[in-house]
Amino acid sequence: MALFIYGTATHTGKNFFTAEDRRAFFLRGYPANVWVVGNNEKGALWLANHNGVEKTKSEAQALVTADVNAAQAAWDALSEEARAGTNRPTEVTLP
Amino acid sequence: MTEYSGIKGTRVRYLSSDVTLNDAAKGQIWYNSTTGKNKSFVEFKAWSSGANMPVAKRALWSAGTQTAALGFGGYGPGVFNTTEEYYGFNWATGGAMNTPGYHLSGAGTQTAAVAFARGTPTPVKGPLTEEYNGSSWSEQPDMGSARYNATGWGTQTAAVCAGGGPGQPTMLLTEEYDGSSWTNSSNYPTKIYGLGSAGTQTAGLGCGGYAPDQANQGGTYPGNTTLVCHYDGSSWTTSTPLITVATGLMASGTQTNALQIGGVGTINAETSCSQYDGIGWTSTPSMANNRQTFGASMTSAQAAVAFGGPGTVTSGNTNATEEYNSTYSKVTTTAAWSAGGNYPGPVYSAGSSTNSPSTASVAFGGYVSGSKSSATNEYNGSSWTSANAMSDTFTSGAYGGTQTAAFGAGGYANPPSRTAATEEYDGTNWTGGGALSVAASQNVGFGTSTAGVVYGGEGSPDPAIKTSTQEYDGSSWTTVNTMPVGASGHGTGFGTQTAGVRNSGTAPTPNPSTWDGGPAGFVNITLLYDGTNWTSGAFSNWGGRNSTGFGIQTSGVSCGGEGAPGTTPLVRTEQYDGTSWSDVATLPRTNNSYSAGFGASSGSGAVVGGTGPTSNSTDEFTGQVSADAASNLTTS
Repeated sequence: MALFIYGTATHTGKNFFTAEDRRAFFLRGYPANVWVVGNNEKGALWLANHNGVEKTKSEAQALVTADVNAAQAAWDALSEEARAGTNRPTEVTLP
Repeated sequence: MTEYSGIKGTRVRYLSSDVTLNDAAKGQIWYNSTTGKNKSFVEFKAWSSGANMPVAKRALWSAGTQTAALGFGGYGPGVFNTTEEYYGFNWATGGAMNTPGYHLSGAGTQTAAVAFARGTPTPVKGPLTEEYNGSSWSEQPDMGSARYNATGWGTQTAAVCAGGGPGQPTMLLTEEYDGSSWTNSSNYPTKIYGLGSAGTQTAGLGCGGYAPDQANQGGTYPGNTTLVCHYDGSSWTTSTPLITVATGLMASGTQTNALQIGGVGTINAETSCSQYDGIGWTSTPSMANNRQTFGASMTSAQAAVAFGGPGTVTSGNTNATEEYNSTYSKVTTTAAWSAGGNYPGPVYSAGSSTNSPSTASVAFGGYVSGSKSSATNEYNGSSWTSANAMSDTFTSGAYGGTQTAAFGAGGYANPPSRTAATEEYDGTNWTGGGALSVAASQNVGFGTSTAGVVYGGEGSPDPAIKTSTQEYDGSSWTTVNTMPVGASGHGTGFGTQTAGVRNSGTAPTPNPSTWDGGPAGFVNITLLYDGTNWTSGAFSNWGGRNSTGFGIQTSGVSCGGEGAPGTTPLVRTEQYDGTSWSDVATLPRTNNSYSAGFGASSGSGAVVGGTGPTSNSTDEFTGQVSADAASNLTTS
């Protein structure tokens, strides 16, 4: 059985996820509103309750990569000052 | 019919709920009728093994705490001048004493100790005094009397030496050290040497020892005593004796809460220990090793460490280390992040009130939706509300304070150039403040708009900025003592002007002289500021530039950051308790670098924004909390 569920959900702000959620199951946000949650009842319910759209891992990875690539292009266009000592956004590999 | 409890056993309180777990509840046992459980709130005490010392020695002295102890001098055979530092998990070698010594005494901490009253190869006993600064020993004025096998306690600047000899009349003498000179005080109640001690210069404790005038105990060492005395800074009074005689013992704690450790009994070195509450002694668990003339931490009766010493007068020395812990059952609530209200736009490189509760905080400036911003937004724990803007844009500068006393200093203003400007926020309006000594970016701050600190950063060009520290009084900045290690790259800073913390960021490694700006080493160092000087603190587990944090020196958080280009941003969340860091939770997203943090303590706080890609998220932190808990009693 897969360890994670992949999906997209719009971050609605306060209590979009709670401390109890984080204690109860794996939950981590990625670029492009991609969320990776634990493949269990609580994780699945969280995604469903937040109008999430389940994706395959490869679909989710493609969304993340596209968003990171866009961020990289934007970073490349920044002035040295605007980069402000930040790293160029790095490729993200979903777990 | 006779009740069993009347002839055997004692009654247990019958309660519908657990008692309140406060000091009054300590030691109690009760029956909880709701849960059907026998419950207790009792202390668990035990010795456990620690890392072996790098050398086996006896007749050494020691200082410090269980997690930062110091052992120095001693006898092997051969008289040692070596110093060993214990960090709670391993030993390191410290600087060598200028003069070897055994059966010596001392006081202080791992980074500020003093050694005195030592035996030396020639002469046998000496008045030498040396101070240790964490790396090297320096000679100080001699004591008034030459002696060894005395005892010592207190701090480097307020120490006491009592007893010692052998011979007349030093066994009676008490001398006080103030960090620069010795003065005589009143005599110990009897001639004595090889006693243990703990406490402070004005509330000291002497216990055990060999008293030749009381050589009536029998056994191999008839002068070994149970004598216990209190010192108030000027005179000695006797108190409740030890449970058993002991010489060459150690003590750890205070005058009213001390642990007696080992020592020679009537025949041999003992493993036995006991605890003192200022009135009487109770037995506590024994060590695994017999010990006499050994080393121990001296500050706590609840957390101690013992090391070195021989088991018998004629046996070989041991390098075994043992740790003592006395704790009540705890229940720990794990730390976690939750989602807060979204910021008005994606933001990074903003400033914030790092020392304010997350329900009343402010964030300002930064790059918002891709543009340099002067915007100010206040957070109430749920949502952000726009407030009066700064007079200029603010990015990559130092910041800190509270919602009603925040400041931003340095960074980049508009047009693009580093600035020395300071702006102060009073909860409603921004006003211009005094200028930094030089324009700087990537600097870090803590404190408030009336008592602030800014350190490190980058100038153009001005390498000296990186070690600089400036204090703000609400109107002007004053350059104060520099840091021992330069800082840049927007690390984590939090705390107050008299109790601040620097963590993470970048620093000049490996060669400070060639560091002229930009990324150098991505470091996990911690420096602590006391309003005058910077001292080293414990390393955090992780570190990198563009990290953030919040809180105060004894209860803070450092989180996020990024390492070398191309590496995955850090998702660490580390809590600091004033002594050590604990990695307690992972951030909920990978783009937290260059976020702005705020929180009054490690108990709760928040971070907003971040880059890689840029985010408008606010993440709220609930810290790890450990609280006393009642234990279930079982019959098996």
